[in-house]
Amino acid sequence: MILQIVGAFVAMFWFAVLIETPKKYLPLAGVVASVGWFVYLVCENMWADAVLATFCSAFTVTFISHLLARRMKTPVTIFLIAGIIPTVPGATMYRIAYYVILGDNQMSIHYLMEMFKIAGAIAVAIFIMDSLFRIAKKNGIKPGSITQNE
Amino acid sequence: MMSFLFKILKRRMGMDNERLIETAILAGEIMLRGGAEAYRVEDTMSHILQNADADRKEVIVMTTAIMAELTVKGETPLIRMRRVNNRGIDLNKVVLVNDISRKLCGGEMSVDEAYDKMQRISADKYKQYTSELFMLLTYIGAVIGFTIMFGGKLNEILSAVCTGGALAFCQISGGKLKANGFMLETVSATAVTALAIVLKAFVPVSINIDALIVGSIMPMVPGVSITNAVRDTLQGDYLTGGSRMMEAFIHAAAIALGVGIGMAIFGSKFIGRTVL
Repeated sequence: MILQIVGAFVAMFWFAVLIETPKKYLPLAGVVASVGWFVYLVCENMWADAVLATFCSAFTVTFISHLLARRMKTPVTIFLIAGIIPTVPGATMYRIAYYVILGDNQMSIHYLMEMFKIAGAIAVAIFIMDSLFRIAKKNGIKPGSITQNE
Repeated sequence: MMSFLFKILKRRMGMDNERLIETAILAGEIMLRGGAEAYRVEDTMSHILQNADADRKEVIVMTTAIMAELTVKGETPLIRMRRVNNRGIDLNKVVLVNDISRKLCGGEMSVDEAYDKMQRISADKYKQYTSELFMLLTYIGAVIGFTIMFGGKLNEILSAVCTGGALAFCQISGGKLKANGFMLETVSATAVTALAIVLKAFVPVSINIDALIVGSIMPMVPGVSITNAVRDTLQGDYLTGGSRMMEAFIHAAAIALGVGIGMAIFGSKFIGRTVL
């Protein structure tokens, strides 16, 4: 599992280069991705459910990226994209194609549904966290005080 | 009284509003090209236009279009439009423009200075990394990382060097030929899948082909589109959010199609359906 988390760091570091992330944020992008992947792996071990694990991972990642973005005064997307990419349903897409070619319609539809569910889970996680931060910003609550309350 | 005099002075200095609206439009164009969310572009542009001396300041940003208007009562309105095609992802430019607009609004930078800086940024060749060899290594590094992430071991890592190279070749040469995104992704996914299957068939070590193929297609998945789609929709920008979602699904379909083609052609020929 540690190897996989290191893999997430390496992958995201180089992927961040591909989307032209500013140089000084490259290692941070990698760290955010590995935290997200760590949460994903732990949750998947616990519940054996990719959708729920994706939700937890995306939720954590959005929270971290908002905090980082506030501190560094940069757009939140830089860290958010880095954290979201590992959970984006690339594996599910591969399985859909795989089962379509095998001629197993039931499995391919199962994975198609899973892809929609995972995409939805990511969306909902970002939705909730963004709204929370927006409410906090409008009411003048600083990010530090939210962490203390939780 | 002072502010009135200041206004007159500003107008006498000439073309202040025009300069400002050009700056705002340029900022919007760079950001939209760099893959920023529409609401962020709108926000930045209206911040820049806040400095203008006008009665009416309007900004509209959509997925492929930017419009801005400044009207002073009794004068011809200033209207600028921009059609933005060939959008890519370049977060560095988004960050830079964000910084410039922040400095401009904070009064640390004059409009002319900001305009000059943005014009330099907007050039296509303004990139952090220009060397093709470096891009090749980047693709390989990303593919190796994703392969490890999905549970690849030494054999898979060594094969990932090959598939990463193939992916990099497709993407870089496709970029040079200005191929459109859908075709480029389909071809890349096909090439990667075919190469993975051939490697499994001819190299006499066991390769976890799932991890290898998934790791190789991960650098193409539309993560940026998904993230932006969600954030734009949340802001009430349904038009942009919806079209971004559409973009994400089209890209996903292109990759799945590519993997499917690669398997259909090479799977049965080299290793047969049962092994696949």
